[in-house]
Amino acid sequence: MSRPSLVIPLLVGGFFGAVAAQTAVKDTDFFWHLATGQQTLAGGLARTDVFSWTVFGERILTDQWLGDVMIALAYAVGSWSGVIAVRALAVAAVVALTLGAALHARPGRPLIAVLASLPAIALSHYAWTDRPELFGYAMFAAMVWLVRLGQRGSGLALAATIPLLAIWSNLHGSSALGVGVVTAVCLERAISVPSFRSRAALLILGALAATLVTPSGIGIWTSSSGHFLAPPRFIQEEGVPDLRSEPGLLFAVTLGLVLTTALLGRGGGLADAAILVPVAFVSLTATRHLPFFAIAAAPFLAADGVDALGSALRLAGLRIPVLAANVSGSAPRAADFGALVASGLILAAGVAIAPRAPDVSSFPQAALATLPPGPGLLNRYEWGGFLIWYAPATPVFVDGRLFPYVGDTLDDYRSVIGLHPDWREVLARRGIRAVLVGPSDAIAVRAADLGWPVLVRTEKYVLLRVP
Amino acid sequence: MKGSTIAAVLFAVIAAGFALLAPVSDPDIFWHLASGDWMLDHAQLLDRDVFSFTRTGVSYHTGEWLGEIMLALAFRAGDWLGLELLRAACVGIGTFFAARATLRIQPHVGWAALPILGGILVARTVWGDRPQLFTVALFPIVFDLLLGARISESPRRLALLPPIFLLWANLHAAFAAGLVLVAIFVIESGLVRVRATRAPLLVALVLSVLATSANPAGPGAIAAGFGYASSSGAYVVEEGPLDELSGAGIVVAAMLLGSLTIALVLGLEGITRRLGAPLLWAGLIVPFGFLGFAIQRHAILACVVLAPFVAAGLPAAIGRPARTAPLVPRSASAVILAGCVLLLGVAAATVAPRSPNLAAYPEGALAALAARPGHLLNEYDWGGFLVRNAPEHPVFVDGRGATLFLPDVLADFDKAVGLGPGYRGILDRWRIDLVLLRPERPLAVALREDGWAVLGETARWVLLARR
Repeated sequence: MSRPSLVIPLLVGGFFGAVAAQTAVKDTDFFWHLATGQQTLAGGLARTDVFSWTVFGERILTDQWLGDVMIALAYAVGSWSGVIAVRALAVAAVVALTLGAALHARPGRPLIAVLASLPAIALSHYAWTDRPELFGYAMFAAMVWLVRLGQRGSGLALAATIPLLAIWSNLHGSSALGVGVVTAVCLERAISVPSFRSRAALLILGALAATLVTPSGIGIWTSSSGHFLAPPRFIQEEGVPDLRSEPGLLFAVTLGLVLTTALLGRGGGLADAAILVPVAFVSLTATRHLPFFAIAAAPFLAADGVDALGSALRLAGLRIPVLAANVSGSAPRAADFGALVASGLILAAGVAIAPRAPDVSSFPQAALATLPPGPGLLNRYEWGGFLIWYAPATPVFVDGRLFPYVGDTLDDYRSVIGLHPDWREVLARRGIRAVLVGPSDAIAVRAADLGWPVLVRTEKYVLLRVP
Repeated sequence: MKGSTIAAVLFAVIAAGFALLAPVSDPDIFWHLASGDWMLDHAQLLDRDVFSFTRTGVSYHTGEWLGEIMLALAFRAGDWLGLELLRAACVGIGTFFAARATLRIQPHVGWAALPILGGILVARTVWGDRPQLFTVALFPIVFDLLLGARISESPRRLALLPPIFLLWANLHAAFAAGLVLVAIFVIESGLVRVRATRAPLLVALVLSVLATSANPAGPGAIAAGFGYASSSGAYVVEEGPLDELSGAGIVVAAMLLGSLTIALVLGLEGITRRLGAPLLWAGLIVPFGFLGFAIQRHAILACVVLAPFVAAGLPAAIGRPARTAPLVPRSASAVILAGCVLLLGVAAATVAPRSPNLAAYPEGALAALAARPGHLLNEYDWGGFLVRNAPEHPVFVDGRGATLFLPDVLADFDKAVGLGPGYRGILDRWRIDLVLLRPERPLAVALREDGWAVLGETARWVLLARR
């Protein structure tokens, strides 16, 4: 097997990493990830909540602890620029690994590989934010490349998926998808190559065991199964994928290209099905999962897309030349090293001109000075992380960590924000002293009716004292 | 008679039997019935609003005038049972032709049964008593006609398409999906130069498009039909995207991803050998798979189109030989058909419900409403029920949402019931004296606290009156 050139993947990855660096830090969940990572660095891994007053002291998930620590380390080293640098690196990794796998599938045809990777780049750009989720995409892109190599006969590549899964499981809960892909690929190989069966069993067991080498142990599957099988639909990115939205259309185009390529392709693609079908199923479960399919599809589209187009044209009576893979397209290691250096320079340049401060315009910044210290504040869900970082003296009611709050706390939150019939009872029972909500939230409108004292008011938020 | 035809009849009887068992309960049936009754009573088309006080006299077209008259005639002829029989007839006809189309490609009933039964399960989500029932019947008829003409290269049956579209365009706006279907067959026949069907298909498409112009909205009905297909699900749940993790979603995903697996395994040659017309399948599966996931009410259309491919492709993918349909003696066929008719007759006479299921509606509020004049702000889903059962109170809004009430009235409705800023202004502007809402609506909570009189309430509804 010839070693493909890494020049194009590295350079294109560096370019998109630099592009990703041009957005300021502003993700709603970023701040609680940063606070959690910083807390872990300072005092070890916390297994109970210390940021809220509603679930204080209760067990929390630790499934992303390494991702949080990486974000906190980046911040400790380089402040906001450090965070952006990590984001740029992760995006560069997603793009380079996706493109690398595509180029490996169609050696020496970089333009085809780039075209096949465009859906993945376009779809993943919605997730170019500062969360461990981005590391999950990079891990998945690496996984796709490894299992593709494994399908071509590389036992080492398949074995490498196990340490990859061990790292991934500590970075982000999406590692469950990786286990699924390894299992499907091993099962397909076991069917196609009977002598592979015992190795397949070992690999599947190894993949499962790798996910347990985390502080969460078997609890890692609580988060993963929650996100994949019963996504919390009230969170935008966990919603049903709308194929008429921009990311939905991109996904639909990708799925359409894959279907058409398969229908007009060479057949015998059970190995492709082992990767593409389970990933397509997972991608269709929630909007945030859409990029996985595009990443997985890139090598398939690169390998078979042009041939399928040729078949379609031949069916229509047109004659086109067969575009074979250019196996002489490999480059010397020196060229790869040069591309790595150039990519690093592009990334560094991108980070150098990146915004130096976070964009907190969508957060209630002006309310910080007026927040009452201690328990008693009911805040909007999406501002919880911001308050954890910027107002540590005021514990939150709820924040983007979601799972600790599922049940009574989220129900009570909805009752007050949405003015349900029991809202007054919840206020009294919880001892809520102030609410920080949007001016158009029902509770804010009702509070105005009732003449509650307004502590801070802007177009985006209002801080009210409960009489 | 061919065994596959007998099998299609049996599938149709199963589906029609299930359709007979459900009582009338669709929230839109009531305003459709009221519209049909109005047209029959006045012997003229209903082209302006006569049911609401927010849009009185405003002209509109639902594109379903004939469908509404058919529903009203069925009700006049047989009361609620008449509607159930009409529903069962549409479901039975649709299932028969969907099954026949599948059995054309896969004559083995065992392999065909799985996707056909899956389609019936998905179709249950659109068995509400609305004009869309006619699409449930007509879309499979058109698909079966086209498939029959293309496979057997006998275009004579295509002459039926223009009259079908003439009828369909006046029954229900989703006829646009049928035109897309014909266009796909036209393009495929043109591309691969199928001499027998190329010109007849093109003529049939042109005549069908012209036929759809023969309706009260003229050529604008086509644009309205496509607009309807692309309308967002912001207000109407069934026009939103299909949730893969729902019952119907799992079936559609299984069929779409099953198609992908089959295509990957068989490839162009395998599909050509076993199913024929590979470009046609690519043209059908991609757009209708997209449509099924983009708009959940169209999931059934995706199932109808995907079923033949799955039924024939699955056994081919696992190496099972192709089968031909057995012939059933005429006497046996007659006995089976007579048995089916008898079975449905017994079901209609004994187990079909004789009254609607009104558990979801504020039936108990009708008496209090009748005794209290004034403008009523009502729950969206109950508008149709009130149009028919409380005609003395013109509604604020009803199921004609996107056709009649966008954007102003629905925006006011959302803001008022959600207690948005300015809700009091909306209540005053529309001079609202009565409010009939679900008790958990923020407006209901606020108005109760403000002293509006409670004229009646249950766990499902509350009727409030301004003092």
